[in-house]
Amino acid sequence: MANTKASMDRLMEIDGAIGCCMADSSSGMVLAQAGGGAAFNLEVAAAGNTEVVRAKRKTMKALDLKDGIEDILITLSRQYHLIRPLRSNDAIFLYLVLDKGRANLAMARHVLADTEKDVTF
Amino acid sequence: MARMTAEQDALVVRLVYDGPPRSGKTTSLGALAQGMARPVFSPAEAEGRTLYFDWLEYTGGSFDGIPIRCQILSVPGQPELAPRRRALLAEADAIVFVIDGTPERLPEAAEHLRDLRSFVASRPSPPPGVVVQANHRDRPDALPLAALREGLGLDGLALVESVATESQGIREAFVLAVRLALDRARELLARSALPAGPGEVDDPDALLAWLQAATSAGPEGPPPPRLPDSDAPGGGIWPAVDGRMILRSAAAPGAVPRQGSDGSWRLRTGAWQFHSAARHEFERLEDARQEMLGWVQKHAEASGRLSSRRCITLAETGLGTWRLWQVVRAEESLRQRLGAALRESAPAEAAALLRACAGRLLEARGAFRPAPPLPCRLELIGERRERPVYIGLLPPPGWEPRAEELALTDAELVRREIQPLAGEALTAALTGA
Repeated sequence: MANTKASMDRLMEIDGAIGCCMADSSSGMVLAQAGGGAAFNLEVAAAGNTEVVRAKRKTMKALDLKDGIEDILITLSRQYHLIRPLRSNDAIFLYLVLDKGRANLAMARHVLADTEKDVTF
Repeated sequence: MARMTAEQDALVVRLVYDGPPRSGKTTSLGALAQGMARPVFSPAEAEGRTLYFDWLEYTGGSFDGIPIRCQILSVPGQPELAPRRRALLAEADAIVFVIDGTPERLPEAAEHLRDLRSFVASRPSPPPGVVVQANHRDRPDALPLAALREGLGLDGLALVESVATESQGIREAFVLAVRLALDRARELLARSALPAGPGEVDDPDALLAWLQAATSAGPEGPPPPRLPDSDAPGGGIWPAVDGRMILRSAAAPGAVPRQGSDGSWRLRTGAWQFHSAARHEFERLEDARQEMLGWVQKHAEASGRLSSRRCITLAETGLGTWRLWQVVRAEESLRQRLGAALRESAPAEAAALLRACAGRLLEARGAFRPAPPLPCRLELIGERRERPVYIGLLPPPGWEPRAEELALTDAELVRREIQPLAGEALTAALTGA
């Protein structure tokens, strides 16, 4: 069975983590989530970032890059948003929201990559 | 079922949870609702068992940039409530088939799945997708996945493990079902067949009213079947190409057929008539196709004598069954033409037309006699290239005119068919009506 809850819990242990989810890029639906709360609607974020992933893939195809997305970083004034498709199933991606003031971006990317390797779906 | 809202601001899809009794359908829906922080509406339950359906609504995700509004239902699993189950399944874009994957429940699950696959195969294209959710995976006697796949014959179907009581695997099965529903919506969109507008059944109260009407013949009789449209299944329309064009022309959005005293369903719009005999309802698409073959043969044999704008087609009733329909363009009959001429023409012209119609009637009598015979009545005869053609609904295979009809002389036939019209015209002229 998929071990999604453990993966979400691990991501929430990252310094500065505000919320995280695992989403299906075909439908934009959330498969698992943690954190977020009233201040950050992860369902809306997953649906919106599905379009980001699709747009990036479309661009890469147009450029004939023959490469895959490792991760996507979006830097806001106060937050980092990290998107990381699963290598085992690129229709699914992890999405992590970090408080910019408290997070160590390099460490967060490392933990995200490490968590992604262990996700089974 | 999939459709765009009237404002084109959401895609509405319906996911239906099916499966044998007590396999965990309602529990799965409850777990899903808990994760989504949404309520479940259940019209009625008996000892914890669903009698109508459970309803959960959730909006999320993205379909080409617009939100997806999911209507998520579970069906009653009890065999005696099968009509309700089938009516709900008939509206599904995707089905989550929940099973108890333990050895003692496997034969029951396999039988239910066979029934579901047969039902899905009978649905209009594109059919709903199916995800199998193997529940109770925490049980020590739960079968290994390979044994489940083999025991259920799951070739081509996705299988998701779950423990509904602990909310495990529920979301995964749901998201897979949403994907399949979106595949169906995309296919409809590609065919320009994705409807848009307000749904007839968009909330649990409306669904309950619809389901009660659909599955119980009340004092006003059974619910009307859906009219055929140009989305007829492959091999379910004749003639294949012109038939679809005819159905597009004949489309009558919102029109509802009425049931006659003989049990047949009929609708006459301004230009078209739809007819489906009482016995032309079938549980299985294959049986409906088989019946249709006999009608195709009869149409082909009579084709030179029939008006051209007509077709026969199969249509899903909306209740999980199929109906065979005749769709015929309402052409001007000799009776209408003669009646108008007698009312409006000068006596000499009217007399000439009377003679011409009598001649056409007798010509039709000769033309309609060879097998398959056709009824020879003034209101069923039209004209094409100065020859009589049959413009009515084709009688059923095996129909023969009555002996007394065959015994009529030509003069008696003309008198029977034309004299009443001439008499009416004369009476109208004399009374000034």
